[in-house]
Amino acid sequence: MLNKLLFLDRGKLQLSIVIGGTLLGLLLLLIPLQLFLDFRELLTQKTDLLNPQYMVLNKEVTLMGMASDKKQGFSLNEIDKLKHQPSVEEIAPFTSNNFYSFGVLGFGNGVPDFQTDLFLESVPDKFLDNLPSNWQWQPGNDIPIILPTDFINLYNFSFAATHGLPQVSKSVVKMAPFTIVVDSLGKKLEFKAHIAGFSDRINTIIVPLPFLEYGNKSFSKTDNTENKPGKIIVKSNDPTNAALTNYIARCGYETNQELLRNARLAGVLRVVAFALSLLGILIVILSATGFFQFAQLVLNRKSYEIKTLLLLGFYPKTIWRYYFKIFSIILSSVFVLSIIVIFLFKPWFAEFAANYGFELNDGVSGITIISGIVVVFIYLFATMANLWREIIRS
Amino acid sequence: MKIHFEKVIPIPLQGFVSDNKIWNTNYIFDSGKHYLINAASGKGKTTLLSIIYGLRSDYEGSIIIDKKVTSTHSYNDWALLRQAKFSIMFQDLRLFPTLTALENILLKNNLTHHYSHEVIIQMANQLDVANLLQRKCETLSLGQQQRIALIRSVCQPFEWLLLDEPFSHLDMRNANKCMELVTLECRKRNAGLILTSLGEYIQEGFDEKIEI
Repeated sequence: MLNKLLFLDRGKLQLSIVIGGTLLGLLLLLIPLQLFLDFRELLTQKTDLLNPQYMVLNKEVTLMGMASDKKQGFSLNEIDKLKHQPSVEEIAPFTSNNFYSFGVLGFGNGVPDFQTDLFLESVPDKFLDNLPSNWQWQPGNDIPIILPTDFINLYNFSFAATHGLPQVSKSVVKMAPFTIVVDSLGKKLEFKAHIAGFSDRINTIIVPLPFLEYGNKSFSKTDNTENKPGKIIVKSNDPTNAALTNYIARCGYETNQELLRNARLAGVLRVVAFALSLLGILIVILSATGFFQFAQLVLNRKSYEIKTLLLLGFYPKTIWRYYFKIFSIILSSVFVLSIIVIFLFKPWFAEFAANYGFELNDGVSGITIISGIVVVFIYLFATMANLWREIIRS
Repeated sequence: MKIHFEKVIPIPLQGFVSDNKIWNTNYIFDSGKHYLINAASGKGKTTLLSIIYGLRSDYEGSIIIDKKVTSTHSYNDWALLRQAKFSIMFQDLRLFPTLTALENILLKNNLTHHYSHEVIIQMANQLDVANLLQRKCETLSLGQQQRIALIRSVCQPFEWLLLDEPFSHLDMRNANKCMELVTLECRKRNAGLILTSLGEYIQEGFDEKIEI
């Protein structure tokens, strides 16, 4: 009987408009939020494509630097400052060989031996991708080497093709006998070596750190402790962080240009998602106002009934509870509808985004659902607080 | 349950009343007694019942019921009083026009489940409105609505029944039937009655008549 008395006997249209408006408001908040979460996930994925976690930094070679015969490098102070920049997790200098060496690589089978001057570099193991299983070195052992993937690509697709030479696979390269010859301080030593792996991340020839430490100690002509590292590798949980990229640019350090472009792209995405969320919040406030007004309208239309029920001895809380039930049902249906719409929208959008090369998953994030619940609770709370005031007043 | 009036004067009546038994003096409504309040329009009959029933607070002085000043009652106190101690029939009846006559009565009765369905039908028969029970109140005449409202007012336990010009749209015969019902219901509960009137025909059967 309360139902007959206290809820809209007419005004079904108003109810539908209010449900539609609230639904729209909720969707315009939750959809940008979901997209923001999706793109954030994309940006923090461990692919080196859009979001490399590792950056190799070097100093720009300037005319001034060329003029002075001092090697440009990072001072301890500079490294320390960089370490304290936002989103920098770990940092390590490249160690390079301070002795003359060359390498000989023989494939046999009519492929001429490669012989080339070598530059060897090393970083701590944890900065390497695809760490080979036997990545250790002790005096007397073979030296494992990691080559940039680009090297073998250059040979296969540029050098071999134009010289009529056979292409070689990575596994063949790994089997090829390789020798590192150290020719320093009047000594000439041969070290057996093998190609242990390939790296996309670091564009240089990498050997285990213990070998370079041993070599620099034993064969170096100069005191290598004075050497400033020319390159450093930075591990960052967010290399696209604007504060970090700005700092790097300000200091005149150079890094992968493509990476910086991606950082800018990520920045744009973030601004767009932020703007959409802001808009969503405004629309939610607007739709909350609409819902609030609707509740007020119901109340005003039913003020005679509410007052009379109180006069007959009904508890204010009985009436309040009735409206709480009604508005909870309305709001939870709006919520369920909005979640259904998002679940339908998401695969469609993922497909749409896939056309542009973004791989989003089809799912809906828990954060989105929880945000929806929170917003609905705020609606309900505001409405019911107002309702209580109005009931008491009558 | 006595009702003490201590120097009560409704603010709108200040300066307009002189020499009467209730306003601006001390007066006690004794429990179980039946009072008839006679007055012309605008002398504060409805105001008197509204103040007792807690609908108005624009008065000076205090009303004490059960040793408690009523102006300090909470919403829940009032709800409880209105369920079990006081019952009222408003001058403007306050029926719900879109509910049927029976629904109007049941809405009140279901708060305390005081009477069974049969008793309600029986009372409706007594007042010649049993055939109207399934009709919406907005389709009933004022006299018919008054009788429905009267039945509704006795469908609860009470110690005081407050009736505000309850027979104003009834003929003599119907008014007498209603008065019989009222008297019977009050006797059953040993309850007091305060009935206001413009000074019409029903003047008998009261312990005290008050002119204000």
